[in-house]
Amino acid sequence: MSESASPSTETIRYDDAIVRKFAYATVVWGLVGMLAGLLLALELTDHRFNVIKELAFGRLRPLHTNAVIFAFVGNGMFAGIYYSTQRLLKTRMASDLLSKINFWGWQSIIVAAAITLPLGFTTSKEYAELEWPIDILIAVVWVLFGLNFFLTLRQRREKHLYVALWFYIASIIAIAVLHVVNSMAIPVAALRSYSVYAGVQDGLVQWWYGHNAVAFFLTTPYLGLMYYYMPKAAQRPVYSYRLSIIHFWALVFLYIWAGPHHLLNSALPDWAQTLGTAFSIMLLAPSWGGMINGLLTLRGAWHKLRTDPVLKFFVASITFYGMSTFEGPMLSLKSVNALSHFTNWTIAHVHAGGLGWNGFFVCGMLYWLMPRLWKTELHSKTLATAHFWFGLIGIGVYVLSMYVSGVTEGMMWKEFDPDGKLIYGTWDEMVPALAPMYLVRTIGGSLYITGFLIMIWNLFRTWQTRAADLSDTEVLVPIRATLPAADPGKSRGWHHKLEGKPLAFTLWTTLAVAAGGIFELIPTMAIKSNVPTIASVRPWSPLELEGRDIYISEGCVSCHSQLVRPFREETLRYGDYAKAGEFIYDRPFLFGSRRIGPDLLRVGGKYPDSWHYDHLMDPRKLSPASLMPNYAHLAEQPLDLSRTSAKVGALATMGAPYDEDEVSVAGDLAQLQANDLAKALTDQGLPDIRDKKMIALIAYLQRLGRDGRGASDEWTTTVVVPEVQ
Amino acid sequence: MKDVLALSDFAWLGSVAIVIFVTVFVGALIWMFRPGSKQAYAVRSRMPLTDDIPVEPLPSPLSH
Repeated sequence: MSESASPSTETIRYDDAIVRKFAYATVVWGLVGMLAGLLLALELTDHRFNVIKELAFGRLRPLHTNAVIFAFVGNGMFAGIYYSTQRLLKTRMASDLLSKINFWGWQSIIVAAAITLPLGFTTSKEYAELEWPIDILIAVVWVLFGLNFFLTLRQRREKHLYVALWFYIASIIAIAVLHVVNSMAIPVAALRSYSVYAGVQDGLVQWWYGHNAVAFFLTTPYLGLMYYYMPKAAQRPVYSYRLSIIHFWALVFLYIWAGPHHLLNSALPDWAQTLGTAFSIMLLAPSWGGMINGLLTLRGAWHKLRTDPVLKFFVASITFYGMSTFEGPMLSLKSVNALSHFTNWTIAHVHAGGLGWNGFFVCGMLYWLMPRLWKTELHSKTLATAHFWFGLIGIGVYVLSMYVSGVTEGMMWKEFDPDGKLIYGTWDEMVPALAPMYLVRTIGGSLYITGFLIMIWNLFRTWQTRAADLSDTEVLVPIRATLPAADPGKSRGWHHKLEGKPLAFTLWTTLAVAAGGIFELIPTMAIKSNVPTIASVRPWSPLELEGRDIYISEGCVSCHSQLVRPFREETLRYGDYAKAGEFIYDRPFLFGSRRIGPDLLRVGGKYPDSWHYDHLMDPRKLSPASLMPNYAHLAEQPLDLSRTSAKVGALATMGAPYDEDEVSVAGDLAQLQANDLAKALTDQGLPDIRDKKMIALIAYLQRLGRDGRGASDEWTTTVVVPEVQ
Repeated sequence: MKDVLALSDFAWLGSVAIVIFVTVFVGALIWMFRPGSKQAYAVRSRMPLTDDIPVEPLPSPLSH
């Protein structure tokens, strides 16, 4: 900061370097995340694309979601926030060091994710898959980002906090709370931990987090960016500031309650499901209020849409936001959800939001931002327009194919013949019906990536024409000492005053954000009747526990649910519907969110051990149409029982009824069970896998769902366990 | 949820909550459309377009 010619003004420099860094990272990670998505799409067109086990579908899917959400959209969010915050507050970020720690810390987290997820280190909780050391790093980096942001608020030259900043505040607070609460776990190894929550409680906490990660990472910060960059690009003021106030408070208050709509028709208490649905429907109002506010900012300037690719991206992005936030509440209706849940309909929904709302907004923002940061003109508007159309057609092709696929599979699951039997009795009969849509989806994704590659080329050519001097932007502002005091006689509304008090504003925002969580999570945890116990449900044996960890590590939950819903077609196909009391030893819960393969809740005892061996070695041997990767490597990799006692001990600490002896000799108990299972296999002429991972996985699969089978309803305290087949 | 609330000793809280939420929402709407507020909102809605010029005086010193 330096004194200028006039004694009443001073020159300040905005930290543009940090914005450029985050923008570069956005482009790089965006490409990585999208290519991972393309490989996933190919793996579903043909199982032979699962070339190496580290990039097989189950392990690659969390890498794709994390890369797109936290690396691509996350870095874009930071770039947009750092640029707009400094300008809206007329001050440089409070600490360059904290900004750099934010950048390098965030990239370290992404690299750690890119290494650990393919290696199978995962919690399996969607969008929260990273293990505990990385979770701690995320918390530290996020808090330092928040600290830098709030210190910048403190040293601002603009008293009034513009609406974009409110959304940033809400995002910072909410993500910190969500991440810390959902990541609570007891470590049992350097990269392995067990959630402190179990079963349906873990499910509720996870989807409270998962839903609100969408809300406060993919939505609220981007709404803040919309309120800044849309007026900038259109050179028009925000359509209605009044509406933005309603939009903000209604959205941050309502959003947090809607998480249970991810667990409709599940074993979650009915009151929580209804609450999630009711608030999801209410969310439509503020969401569309925001969309209308964003689009109508273009009033009087719609003609610019013809020639300005930035506005094209922004308008399409906001339109996708409106479509997604209409579809979301519809999917939250139990009757609609009964068809859509576990199908590709959900995949269509999230990609309309991800590719359309977030992806297009990031691209529009980069086209607007990068020439300014490089102090030059965009290389080609024509290429940017071409990118827009490639992207838009790509999204259309992708999303429509997944809608068709989702409805197709949802209907096939439910189709009965006149005698009341399932028409499609086996999964193999349904998989081929989806194959054409998977191919079309791959084409749609490829078009979107083609557009992204055009952007990279266009930005590269723009970069080549950058100014020689890329020093920080300098602006002349009145020095603080000469700023006149506020006029005491001027009447100001309470919200106006609140917008001038960041601390009070933040506290009110925290209260609004926390309310939903408090009223949903605490009763579910505290009221015992929400999770009725079933006497026959016992904790996993040490070997089954190891098998469960392998199931998690391989990402089986990416394709297989463990949640039979109370529908006739599901109980006929899979067995008894799921009860809350069945999952009390499940840390983490493994309900899943997608059925690329069948539900496995009651697979225990359905097939002989040798069937599982053959199926894991080569799924097509038993199910010719299967898309499942081969898991032959599990018959080669050694079973490590060195941490079994620690794992069992951790679960005992959290209430699982293991006695001290079981804990101390857990590894030996596991080996004994493995020996018995392996002997039965060798007696049938199969190889001896007593010390291999596969034996533990088979033990786990054969236990699944047995304890709760036969319980007639939630309030049954004793059940008859059928004989093992 | 209605059944659960009906059995609770705190069933009346649901009605109270609805009254509070609706009152706050309607009150906020009335407040926002109060006479004379249009100009203030017009100035604020232009903030991204004038972000090199402070539009509001700061109190001194900054204490929040």
